Amino acid sequence: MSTHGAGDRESYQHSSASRELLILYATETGTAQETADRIARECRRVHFHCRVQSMDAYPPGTLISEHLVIFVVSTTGWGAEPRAMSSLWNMLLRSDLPNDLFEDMDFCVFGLGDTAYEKFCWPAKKLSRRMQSLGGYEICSRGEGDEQHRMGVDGALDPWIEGLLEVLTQLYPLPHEQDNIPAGRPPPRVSLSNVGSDTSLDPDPLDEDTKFHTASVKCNRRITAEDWFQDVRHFEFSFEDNIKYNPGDVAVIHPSAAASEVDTFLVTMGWANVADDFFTIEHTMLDQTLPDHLPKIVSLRILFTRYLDFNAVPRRSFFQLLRYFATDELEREKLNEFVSIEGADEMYDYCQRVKRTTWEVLSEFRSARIPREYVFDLFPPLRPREFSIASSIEFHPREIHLCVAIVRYRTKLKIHRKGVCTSYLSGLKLGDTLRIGLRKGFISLPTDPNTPVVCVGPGTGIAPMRAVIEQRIDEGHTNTTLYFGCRSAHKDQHYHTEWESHAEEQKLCYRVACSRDGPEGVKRTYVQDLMKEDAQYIWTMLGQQRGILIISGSSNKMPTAVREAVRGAVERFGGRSNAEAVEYVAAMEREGRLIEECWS
Amino acid sequence: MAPTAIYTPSPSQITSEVKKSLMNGSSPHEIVKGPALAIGSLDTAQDGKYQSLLLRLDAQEGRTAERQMLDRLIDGAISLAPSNYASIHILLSPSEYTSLSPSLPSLLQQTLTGLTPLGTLHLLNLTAGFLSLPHELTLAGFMIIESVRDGPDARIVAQKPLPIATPLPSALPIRRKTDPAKQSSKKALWALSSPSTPTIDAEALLTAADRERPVPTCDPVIVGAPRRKKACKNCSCGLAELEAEEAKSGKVVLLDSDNAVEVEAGDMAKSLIAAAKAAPKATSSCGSCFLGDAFRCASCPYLGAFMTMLFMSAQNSENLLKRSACIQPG
Repeated sequence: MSTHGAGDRESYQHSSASRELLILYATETGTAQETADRIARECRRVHFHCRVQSMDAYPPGTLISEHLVIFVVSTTGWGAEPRAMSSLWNMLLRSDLPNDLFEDMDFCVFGLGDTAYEKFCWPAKKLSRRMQSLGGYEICSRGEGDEQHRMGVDGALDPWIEGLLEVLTQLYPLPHEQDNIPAGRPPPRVSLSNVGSDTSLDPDPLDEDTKFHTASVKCNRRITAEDWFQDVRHFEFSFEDNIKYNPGDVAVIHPSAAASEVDTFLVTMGWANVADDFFTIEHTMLDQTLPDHLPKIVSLRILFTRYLDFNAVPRRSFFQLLRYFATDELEREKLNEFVSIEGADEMYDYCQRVKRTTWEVLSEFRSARIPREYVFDLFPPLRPREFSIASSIEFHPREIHLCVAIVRYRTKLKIHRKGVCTSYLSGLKLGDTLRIGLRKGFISLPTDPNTPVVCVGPGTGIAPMRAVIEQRIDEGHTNTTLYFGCRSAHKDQHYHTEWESHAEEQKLCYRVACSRDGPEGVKRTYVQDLMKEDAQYIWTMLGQQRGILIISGSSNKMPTAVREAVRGAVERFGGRSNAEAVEYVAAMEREGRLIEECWS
Repeated sequence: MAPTAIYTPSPSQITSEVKKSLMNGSSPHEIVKGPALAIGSLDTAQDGKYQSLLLRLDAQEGRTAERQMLDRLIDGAISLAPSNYASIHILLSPSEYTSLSPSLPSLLQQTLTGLTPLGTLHLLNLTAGFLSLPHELTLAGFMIIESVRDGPDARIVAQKPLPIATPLPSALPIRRKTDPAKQSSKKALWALSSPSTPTIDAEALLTAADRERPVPTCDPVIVGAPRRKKACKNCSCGLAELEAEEAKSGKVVLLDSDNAVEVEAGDMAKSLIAAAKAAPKATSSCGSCFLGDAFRCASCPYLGAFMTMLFMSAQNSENLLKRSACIQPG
């Protein structure tokens, strides 16, 4: 916290006229967004109106004019901030900002994380410290929601909200006549009105969004062996637009639910007869978020195909709201049990642990009569998903290639769990069209031809590495190395014919570790083991020739192990001590010579 | 780097007891009373300095100070009980201070945790040249309250601050009036700051308390009852053994996205067909089996099955499973 000069202090009451605040959220899977909506609803109790926005949709320049901001921040991977936060966060970290920049801002932070991870809520913690160091006034202490708590994030959120409301009332006292509004069933966030069947529809907002381009499916091919447990697909999309992207950039895709599933779902809900009736959506509770790119006029079928996710695993707030609609006493009792503190474990076991979907829950609570006005409150938005682009635009003009593992797994439930977006992708036929957006990534390749590039991309981490390698080859470089890891040389060695062909032409140095091909009982070989074997080569590439290392893939133990292999090479062949080698690797990262593109 | 918060004890904490001890000439920094810990080393034990420290502390405090050797702390052989000591005194030889530097942040964190709020850390027998110590102390979350550079008594004394109060007391915040000229210059600074400006190290913002490894809440394990957590790596409460047993007996399938489970549609169809066959014949004493998993008891044979499947013919059940498995050859 900055200290204020003693001379010009003045205490004043905040004007009660502007009972307004901004909630900025950064969500990865939608939990922080839902939390932001919840906080906004609760602020109504003290007569505050909230504007709720995602950090990546908020115009950053206006932050300086805000007087009261609540930040709601998730944690992703092993302690990183959500992607939606990165741009604003990097602005806040600039070293030329004065320590009184936000002295006119009151703020507080609620973080969402998981105490199973060491860097629990680190993005929220760092944000709170940074805003303080820039002069912001933290009106109440940071909340830290924990997935491991019996009640999940609500364990910390419920008391934090009460504390927040108390502080808001102190800072912005209510005029005497207005009491706090008690909690209860919230009103729906929209109002819906039928329109005639001859109404013409407005153009689709996604079609109008210039950040998206129309693509047509050119290829949807399985690249793992038919008898291999994992279904990995190679996709090729072709565009009419002259799109441009760089290695490391990301394709953004909005999934659609399968038509047959939507049909069955609408029947389950008793909406089959009205599924295709059109109605307008009026956003009445402006402090609650709605899905992106939502048209003004839709039908229930369209809503559940493209905008609302009935396959999402519901959170506690869903069960809380459903209580108001269950007409059967037994069901209502069960729902009350689920949302109680004592029933928290039971609800977790029933729902979140086995990944039971909203639709599956509703098919067991059949007495629930849900008015269509409440669909935006009960069903979360169908979020777009992101995939690292696996091609170079120079190699494949007007095309985007993706390498995607189709998500399918088993829990105690007898029907398999599926990934919403990967299921959608796996069902695409040649010639199907869809809109694909582009988001900039964080890889920047060296321009100096003498600077080598070492790529480490096991499994589907190969996707951005293929983009890098194709680009490097197109630019005429021959000093690129690829360390690829898979389980079986014959079953999941993605794109191996390409790597072998490039290697034969001396355009790529290719090293592959097939972890499960070794004999039983022998320690498995991974990419980091190959790098240890090649320690001298690694030092030559990265140390002597000051090359770049790019790590891509699953952010489990692999990145740490790869860093350790580099550290070892620096120590053995770079003539450094253990501590110096550690510092060398850290310096590489600071200088942009070690780039990590990993996901959880 | 942002300055850490600076706190002074509120008047209510300087009790008459404390004031008395201040007047009696005890160290002006022992504002809180409590046990003292003296950390020594091989060198300072050999040349007698450590013993002198112990004698002094025992006399001062009127009770025996606790003793530890530095390497036990560094090696993690022991850990300090949190918020336990009113003062911690570290006495090493100059060469030992030098070789300490890689482990220094970790040692400072441990001592910070072990101190009560407003407790003090004394780094004794320093020689000039330990200029990075104040910086390391501040980074760790300490506040330097005394620093003697030269002479035989060279030392640094640092204090653990009070935790941040939550939420506000009834006083309103003291705020500057918004100055419009300043506001527009700040707007410009914020808007025009260029992307190529170097950024600060975000992790340096965190205090030691922020970095403290969270302790996952571990409710006691009740066999058979629903559970939220998976067992921790170094599980000490028996949950790991229970999970291993369950995995063997095949009753529970743990979700493990790292190793996708191989699909055997065959045996799943078999069990479901069996359940479907049994459906009309099965008599349920509780009547809840057909209501859905939410209402089934833990020993229900239909657990995990969806109601619609039970009333389908065997063939339809198998088809439903096949559809849900949906491998599409490219």
